Amino acid sequence: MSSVTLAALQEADPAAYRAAARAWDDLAARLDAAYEQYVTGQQRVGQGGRGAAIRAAIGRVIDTGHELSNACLPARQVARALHGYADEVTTLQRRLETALASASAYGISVDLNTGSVTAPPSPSMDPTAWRNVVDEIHAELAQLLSQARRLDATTSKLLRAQRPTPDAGFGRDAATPVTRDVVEAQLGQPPAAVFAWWQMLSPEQQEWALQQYPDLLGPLNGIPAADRDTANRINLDRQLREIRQQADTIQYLINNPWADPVYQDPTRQGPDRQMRRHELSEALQALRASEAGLLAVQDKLATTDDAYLLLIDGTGDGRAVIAVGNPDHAAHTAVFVPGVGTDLRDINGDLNRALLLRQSADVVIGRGDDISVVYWLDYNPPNSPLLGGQESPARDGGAALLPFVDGLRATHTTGDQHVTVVGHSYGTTVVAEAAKTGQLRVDDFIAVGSPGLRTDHVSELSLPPGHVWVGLASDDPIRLAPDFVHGPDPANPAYGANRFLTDTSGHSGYWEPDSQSLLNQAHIIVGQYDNVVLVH
Amino acid sequence: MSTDALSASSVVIAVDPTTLRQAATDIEAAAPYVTDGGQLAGPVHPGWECTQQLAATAQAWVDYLGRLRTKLGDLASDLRNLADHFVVADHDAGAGWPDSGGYVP
Repeated sequence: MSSVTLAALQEADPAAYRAAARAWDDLAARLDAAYEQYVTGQQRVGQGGRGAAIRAAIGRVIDTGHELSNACLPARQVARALHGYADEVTTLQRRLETALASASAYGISVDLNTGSVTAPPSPSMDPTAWRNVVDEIHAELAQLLSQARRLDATTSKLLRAQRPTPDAGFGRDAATPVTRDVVEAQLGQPPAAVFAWWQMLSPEQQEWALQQYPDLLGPLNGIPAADRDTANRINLDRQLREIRQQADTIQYLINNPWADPVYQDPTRQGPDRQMRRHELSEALQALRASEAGLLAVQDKLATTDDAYLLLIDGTGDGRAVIAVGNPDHAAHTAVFVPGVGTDLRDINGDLNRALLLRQSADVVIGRGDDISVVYWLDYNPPNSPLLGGQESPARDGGAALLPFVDGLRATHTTGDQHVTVVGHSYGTTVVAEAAKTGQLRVDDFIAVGSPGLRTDHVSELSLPPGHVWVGLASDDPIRLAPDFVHGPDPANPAYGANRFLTDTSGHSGYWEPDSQSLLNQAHIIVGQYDNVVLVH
Repeated sequence: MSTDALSASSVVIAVDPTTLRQAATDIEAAAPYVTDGGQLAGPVHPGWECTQQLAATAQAWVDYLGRLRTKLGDLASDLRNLADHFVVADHDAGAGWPDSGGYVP
C-alpha cells in the first residue's frame, strides 16, 4: 500500500521523471539498433560453415540474439510507465494547487501530511453552505490522495515487472512471430495507433514482419521511416521481378503466337488474332513503362545519400514517396507534392527539386541533419495540362496526404517537428483539398505555380493564419488558368495569402539554385519567416 | 572422441574462417550500442514507492547491460577463437602428410 501524502505529491518532480523516461526511450532505441547490427553477424555465422562446432556456435549466437531483442520491449515499457507517471503527477499537482488556493481563500488550513482540513466557523456564510464548501475541499483532497496512491502502486508494479534476471535478462526464447492477420488488422488504423502497436513488438518480431509482409508494412503510415524503407526496398525488387516475368511471358506470346491459347482457338480467326496481337503489344508497352519507372526509382535511390523509400507502387503511372533525410529525426520536414503529368520515370528531375530545397534549407539553417524533404507522389496526377481541370485526382490525393502527414507526426522521435507542405502546380490543389478538411496537421503551406486552391479565401484552408505562402513567377503560364477551373489566383492580394518574391522564369523554375524563389521557400521550411522576402 | 566414434561420424565439416571473423566483428560492433544505463534512475522522492522501485529497476538494468556487453564481447572473441582453431587444425592436419611433390587441383 502506497504511503504517498499530499506533501509528497506537492514535492514530486515530474520533470525529473520525464528526463528519466527519455533515457529509457533512448535505451530502447539503442537496443533496437544493437539488435539490427547483431543480426548481420548472426546471419554471417550461419554462412561460416558446417559441422558440430558451427552448429553449437549458431545455437549460442541465436540465443544471445533472442536475449538482446527481448530486452528492448521492457525498456520501452519502463519509458511508457514513466511518461504516464510524469503526466499524471503534473495533472494531480495542478489540481492540488487549485484546491489549496481555494482552501486558502476561505481561510481553511490543510495539513498536507495527514490530508485533514481545519475550518474555523465562517463569519459571513450560512453554516450549511459553509459545511458544503469545507466538505467539497476535503473530498477533492481525499480524491487526490487516493489517485496519487493508486498511481504510485500501479507505477511500482509496472517497474518491478520490467526488472531483468541476472543471468538471462528477459529470456532467450524466440519471440512469437507476427501473423499476417495481425498486420492486416492495422490497415486503416490511425497512424498513431499503428505506431503504438509497432513499438510493442520486439526488434526480432519487427524484423520478421518486415521480411514476411513488406507489401503491407511498406505503405503503412505510422511505421517508422527506416522500417518502411526496409520493406519498400524489398517491394521494389519484387515488383521489378514480377513485371519482368509478366513482360517476358507476353513477349514470348508475341514471338510465338502458336503458344497463345487465343491462337489455338479454331473459332477465332484473322481479325481476332490481329486484335489479340495489338492487346499484347499494348500490355507489353505498359509493363515496360512500369519497369522504366521502377528502375528510375532504383537508380535514384542508389545515387542519393540518406534516402528513405516510404512507398513504391509500379502499377499504372506509378507512385512513390521518397524522403531525403530521416523525417523521424528531422527538426524540419518539407513534403513536396508534384503536379500534372508526373510519373515515376520523371523521378530524377522531380527528386532533384526536393534535393535543391533541402540543400538550400541546410544552408540557411546551417545544420544538415535537421532537414528532411519528402517527395510525395501517392496520387495519380492528370496526365497532361489539358486534363488539369479534373477534380477527382486532387480529392483522392488530398485524402491520401492527410494520413501521411499524421504518420510523420506519429513516428517522430520527439513529436515537435515543424512540417511544411510544398505544392507545385496541380500539387497545390491536392494540398488545398487536404487542408479544407481542417485535418491537415502542417505548420506551413507553400503553393508555387498554383492553378487555384479551390477556395475563395485563404481562411477556408483551415491552416494557421499567416502560414500559407504563394510564389508565382511573372511569366508562369499558369496565370492564364481561368478562375472557374480551380478557383481564383491565390497570388492575388484579395485571396489573403502571403506572396513571396520570385525571380525565376516559367512554370518550373522555382528551384533554380541560388534564386530568391528557392531561398524564400528554404526560409519558410526552417521557420525563418522574417527572412522571407514578400511581395505582399 | 573415441576412435570408433570418429570413424562412425559422417558429419560434413566446412568452415570459412574469414566469414566467422567478419561475424565476430559485426557482433562486437553491436556492443557499444548497449549503453551503460546512466540517467535511467530519477531522484527518490520520500513517500513515493515507485521512485524507489525505479532506482532498483535502473540498478538491475545497469548491472544487466554491463553483463550483456561482456556477453557480446565474449561471443565475438569465441567466434574468432573458433576460426583460429580451424585454421590451426587444418594446418596441423596438412603438416601430417608427407610432401607429395605439390598438389595440383
